[in-house]
Amino acid sequence: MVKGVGFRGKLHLVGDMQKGLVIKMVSVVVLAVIAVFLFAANKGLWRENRKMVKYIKNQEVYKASLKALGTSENQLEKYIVKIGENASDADLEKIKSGYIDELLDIIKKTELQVDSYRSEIEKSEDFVIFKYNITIVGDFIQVLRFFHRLQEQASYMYVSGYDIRLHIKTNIRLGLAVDIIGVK
Amino acid sequence: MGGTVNNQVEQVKMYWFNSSSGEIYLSKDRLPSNQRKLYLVVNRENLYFGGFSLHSKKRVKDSNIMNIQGHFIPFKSDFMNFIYSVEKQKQPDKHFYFWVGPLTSELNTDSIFYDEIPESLMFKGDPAAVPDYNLFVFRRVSGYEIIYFNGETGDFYSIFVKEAGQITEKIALLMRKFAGGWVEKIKILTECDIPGIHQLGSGDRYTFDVSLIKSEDSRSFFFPDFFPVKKRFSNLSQSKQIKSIREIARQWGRNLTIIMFLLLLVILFNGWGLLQLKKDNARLKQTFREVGKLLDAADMIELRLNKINAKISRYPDHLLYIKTIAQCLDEDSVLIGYSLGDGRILMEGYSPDSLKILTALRKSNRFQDVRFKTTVTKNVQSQKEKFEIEVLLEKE
Repeated sequence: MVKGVGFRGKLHLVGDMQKGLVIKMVSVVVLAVIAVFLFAANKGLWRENRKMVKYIKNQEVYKASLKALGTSENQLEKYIVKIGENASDADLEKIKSGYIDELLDIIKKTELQVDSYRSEIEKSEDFVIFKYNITIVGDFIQVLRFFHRLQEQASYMYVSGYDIRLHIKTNIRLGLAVDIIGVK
Repeated sequence: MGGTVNNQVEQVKMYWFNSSSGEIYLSKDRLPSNQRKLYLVVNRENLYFGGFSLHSKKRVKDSNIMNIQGHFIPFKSDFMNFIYSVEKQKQPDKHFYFWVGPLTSELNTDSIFYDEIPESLMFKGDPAAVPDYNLFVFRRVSGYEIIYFNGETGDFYSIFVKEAGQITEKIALLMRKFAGGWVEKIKILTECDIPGIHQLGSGDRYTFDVSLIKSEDSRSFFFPDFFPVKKRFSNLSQSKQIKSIREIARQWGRNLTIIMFLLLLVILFNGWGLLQLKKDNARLKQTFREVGKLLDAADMIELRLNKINAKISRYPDHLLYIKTIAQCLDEDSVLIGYSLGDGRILMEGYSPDSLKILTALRKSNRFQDVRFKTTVTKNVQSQKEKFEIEVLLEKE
């Protein structure tokens, strides 16, 4: 009937005010929930960041460790032989021949006589072992000298075993097994 | 009770409306029946419309009033609109009040119309003194509804009465209730009586007994003894209570607004923080990945080194063993065979006291186990024992 009249009755008026209040309260609750969610998200992210910062702070330590390890690995070259990742059998044979020459050269320098030798390649998952079996004739002092020279000049050659037998007067016969560890 | 305004009446006009021809007449003469008539009572300040249907049983169905904002809503009746516009043009400075009240008991009231300032129906004098009061009366199917509206406070009351005669009383009641400090300024027009209604057609002779409800001793109409206040309307404490509720609600509203504002600030701050943290997070993750790569590389190298070390450590330090064994052999002892392999050393030789060699080797603590592999035999001629000693190397 009365168009344009917004209110009807006092209670309605209070009701309208209550309606406004309810809307405000709901808004407050919604905003509070949003604030709590944001706060929780911030807290989670902050914790994650702090954890990462802790790790990253040790970055220098890790780098130093890595450097030390790298150095150690480089130093290993005195004790192992590095083989290319994609080394073929022919390459391995070439390497094997190269080292037998080196070994024979050392033996020759200690005035020992090589009676016979043979070599083989043993492959495993991580290593390639170059195995040499050499029979040498000489006196014991020369053998000892050879052992020392081998240790000094070719630290990457490992004596895996030997058998020394007396051979004609003061001479001995040395059956020597030498390994060279190849690492890919 | 009170004085009259008879002497103030300047003019009484009577409009007639011929519903069949649609013509309107301003005439003192009575027109045939089934025609509508409207009185205009004019005094110095105001002009009162008294519109009603004299003989027709047809009532004006729709009340036409000024709306709350005080804007004129045209009557649905052309007759009314015409008269209003004509008179308004002629007397623009006067306030126009429509009043179709209990002029006589013989006349049916149709509606009460208000023009200009709605409260002026009751307020003679200075309407601006009580600008916020608005009173409306509506004709309803079974009676009348008196509506009070205060635009400033938002107060809104509705009272329903069955009899037209009760309208004035209720209006007075509302006035009394809401007039507040302006009571003394308010004069109320309660009755309009046309005693000479039977002398229709001689308008000049009409006298309108329009009473102002005001006591002779200037006591206000609003004194309680005039209009005892009915309980449901006089519950001022209820009103106060509602006002206090409203005040509390306003206070809460303000508080909630502040809380909302603060929460918005918190959200904005948190949102900004979240963005910053996300940026930091992305940057840190990048660095973290790099550190991870470093760690992986270090792990790989370490693993590799461990494997190599394990492999190398399997090879015996044979020179050390030779040296140890040499120390354990006396000058008279001779080795004729010496072999190393498979984690053991096998020695074969001659000695005057092979047990002594065995004991010396055991004492060296460098070997895991030292024992004669075969039975020791003694050469009677050379007095030397032939021995064969097996030495188990220590496991790394």
